[in-house]
Amino acid sequence: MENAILRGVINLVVFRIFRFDPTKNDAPTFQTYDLPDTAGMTILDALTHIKENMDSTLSFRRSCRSAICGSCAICANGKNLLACNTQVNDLKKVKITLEPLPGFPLIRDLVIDWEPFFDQYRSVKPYLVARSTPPEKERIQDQKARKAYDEAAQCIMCSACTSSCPVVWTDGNYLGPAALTKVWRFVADDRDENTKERLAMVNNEEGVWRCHTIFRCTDSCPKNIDTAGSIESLRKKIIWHQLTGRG
Amino acid sequence: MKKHDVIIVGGGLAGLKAAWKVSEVADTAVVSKLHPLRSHTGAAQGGIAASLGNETLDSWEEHMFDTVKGSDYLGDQDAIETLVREAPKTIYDLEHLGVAFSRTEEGKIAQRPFGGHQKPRSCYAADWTGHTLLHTVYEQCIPKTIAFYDEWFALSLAVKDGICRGIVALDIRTGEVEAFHSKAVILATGGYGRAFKITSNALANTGDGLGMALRAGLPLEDMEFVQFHPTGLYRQGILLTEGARGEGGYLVNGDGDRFMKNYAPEKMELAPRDVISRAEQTEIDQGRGGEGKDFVYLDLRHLGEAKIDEKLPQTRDLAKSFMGLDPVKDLIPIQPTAHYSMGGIPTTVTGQVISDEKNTPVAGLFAAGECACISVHGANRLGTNSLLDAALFGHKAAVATIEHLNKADFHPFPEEAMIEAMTRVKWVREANGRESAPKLRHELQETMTQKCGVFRDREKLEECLAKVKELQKRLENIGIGDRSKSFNTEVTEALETQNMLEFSEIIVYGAMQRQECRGAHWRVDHPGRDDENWLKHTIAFQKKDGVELRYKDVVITRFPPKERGY
Amino acid sequence: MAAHSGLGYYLRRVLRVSLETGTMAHLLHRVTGLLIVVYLFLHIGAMSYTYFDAGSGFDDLMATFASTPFLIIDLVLFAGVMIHGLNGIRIMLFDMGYFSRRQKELFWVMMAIAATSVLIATWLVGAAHGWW
Repeated sequence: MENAILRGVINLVVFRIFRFDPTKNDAPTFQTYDLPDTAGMTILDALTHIKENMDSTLSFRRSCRSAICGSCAICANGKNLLACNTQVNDLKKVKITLEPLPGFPLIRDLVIDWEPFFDQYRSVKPYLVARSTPPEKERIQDQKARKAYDEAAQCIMCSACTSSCPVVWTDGNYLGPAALTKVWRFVADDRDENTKERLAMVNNEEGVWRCHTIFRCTDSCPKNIDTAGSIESLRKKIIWHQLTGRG
Repeated sequence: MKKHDVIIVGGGLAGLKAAWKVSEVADTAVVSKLHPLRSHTGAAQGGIAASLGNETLDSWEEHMFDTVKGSDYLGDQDAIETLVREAPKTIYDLEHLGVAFSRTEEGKIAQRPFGGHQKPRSCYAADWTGHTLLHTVYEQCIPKTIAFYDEWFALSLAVKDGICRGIVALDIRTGEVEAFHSKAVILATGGYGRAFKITSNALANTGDGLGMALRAGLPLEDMEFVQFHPTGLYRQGILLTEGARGEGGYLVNGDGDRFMKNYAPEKMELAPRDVISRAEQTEIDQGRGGEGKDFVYLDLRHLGEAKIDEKLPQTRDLAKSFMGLDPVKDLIPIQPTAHYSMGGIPTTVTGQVISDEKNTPVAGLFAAGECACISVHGANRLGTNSLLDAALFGHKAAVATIEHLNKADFHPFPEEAMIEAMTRVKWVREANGRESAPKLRHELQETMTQKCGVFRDREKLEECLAKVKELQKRLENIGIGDRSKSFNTEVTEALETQNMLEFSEIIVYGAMQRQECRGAHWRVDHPGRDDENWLKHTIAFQKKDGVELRYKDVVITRFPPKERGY
Repeated sequence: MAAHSGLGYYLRRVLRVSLETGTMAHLLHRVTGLLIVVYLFLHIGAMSYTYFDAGSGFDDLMATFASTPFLIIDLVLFAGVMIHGLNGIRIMLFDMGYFSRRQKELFWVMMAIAATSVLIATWLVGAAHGWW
């Protein structure tokens, strides 16, 4: 049957969606919705279709629907992704299980509580620190130096990476790949003058050394950022600083 | 009741820039229906304008002339002068905050050409300029003491006796309605592209601030001017940056012709957006669309993979994930997409909101960004001027607010505002009529795109107005299925629909009255610009018996109106 | 609501994850690690046999260990050690800043080396014990 559907003989995708409303339910349940024709539909289109035509009580976050705001990160068939830029038929499954991002407290249905995630992000001082007086015009930064943090700076903070990390699932205090990538973004930026403090901040067991190099974070990044690679870069930098006596 | 010196509604670039500044001296809160990092500023791609002259010699005077001409002479030239003169400093400040600008070979901020600008003055970070601006400014707000109310939906402005005393907002997470008492409010609620079916705007861009202003009895300015961006992905409207053309991309029709040679022989693909959108629509209407359908093509193939990956990575990603096409080897189907609202809440150059055509200020109320109409964009905004507008006037509104705080105090919070908001939320939450709010929204979007789009005429606009009024009536009879108080998005979406229906009437009515072609407003039944009768701003009030239009003169200082050719 | 971190949460989640290469490597690393630890205890137990029994028991035990089923278990153990060790080297390479963008390919290279060594070992063991 799966093949028949994929070949377009039968058009039917079953969505199994995680439902939970703290004001009404004690425990979460899964509810299924059948969508007859999903050709050209993103997961977000499917969710919107369900909400507008089948069950208006379904709650989920969404905004830009062009993969830049990071609102609609969810877990589909065990993989974290953005609902807005994933075609339903690309998952090549007739049964799609949609769950809220794992590893975070729940608010309702597919909506998770981002506060712990943003707390970690805010805790790493994710802003440029430059103690020297800036020049009248722009700071000069050559193209190579600019390239060093290009990838990390494209993070949209959707939290798909942190939520996909098995270490985060065991240890809620681990900073996680998003916050660590943010640290790398500033360490790699030669305009930032806070490298020493930043490295010290993550040179501990809840920082870069907690990472088990599983690469689920990199795999789930909708912007194709090598988050695990950022953590590795931080480790390398820490070791280098210690060897050369700069740390 | 929550109490802060300053309440900023909206957490996009304008709101955050204002918060960053105001929080230096005052207890500041940002109320936003999205987490600030989810704001639509992040979707801006191509760049932010300033005459830095990093690529070629440039001056603010040239930037000013381009902006005035781009606005089809409707922009207020005193405001435009402020915009362009302070632009370089704004960019340098942003760079000092950490914005990841792309660089020239000497390491200066790189600049590229953009539609309507005669010089390359778009400072960019590949094609994610808005993203880096939004994230940088938000991050710089972290060490400041700012209270962030994320995912609070602003419902009403508490304005009484010409003084703004705060707002009322709904906590989306818990469903509680709460009053926010303040000495000043800065509105930075963004645009309203969602009133249209084909739009580049986020699902959140529903112009809620405009609805709030209207309900508080305040007017809206120049609402008939809606910018249609020429390169929206076919059917979805998702934005492909103008930077794609800035980097040398072509527009071709179904016959494979670079049709812009017939419309703007000199500037070709780098003519302003209104000109290109009309050219595209004309090609489509005359049967020269791709495959005979309602789209034309964006052709980037000659740029080569390396340049596309370096300068336009997001464009490639978007085309791939949403159309399954690769710009390196495929033509990308595009069509005009509702993109930006030139109009909005009327303000002075400092961001002070005014309540009529005589510039009477509303004490303690400021506005900045896309929701405001200063007016620096007039009848048509040039690409890259909006990020500049948001960053610069967000800052200015903050400065004006700080000044206001020196002499202002808390005025009693009007109970009526709270009661009105609570009644409305209760009505929506318990609504059990037969109409569906999403359906009404879709009908509105369909109508606005069909009848109040790139080309307008009296007949279409009259039908459109009738439809909007019908929808407003039907909204009274909606039904809501979700009675929960926890993160109830059905309720907030219905409230958004209500806002859209309110200001859409203003858009259509203003468009009906303005019998000329100017910038983005094109009346096929009234060809040509009419400076004699229409070189003026529309100031529209929502009264009990319909829309009342008044008019305000355009400020002209340096550049008297001339014919506008490209 | 249940906790959203901790060992229990990990175990519940990990059974439902999609198996990307990196995840597979992670799980294999844990499973083989446990296998080696279990073997280590069995090994220590078997060795301490001599301590409790000075007679021929130990030689008998050794003879049992040389029987085909135990040789197969030995080979499985060898495979586990290879997988664990080579993946360990893979991770060390990442820590030194190499190949993080090529982690999937590197995993399969390591696994190919592991598979080849196990095949060779099987051939050698088989030859020594007259399997072929």
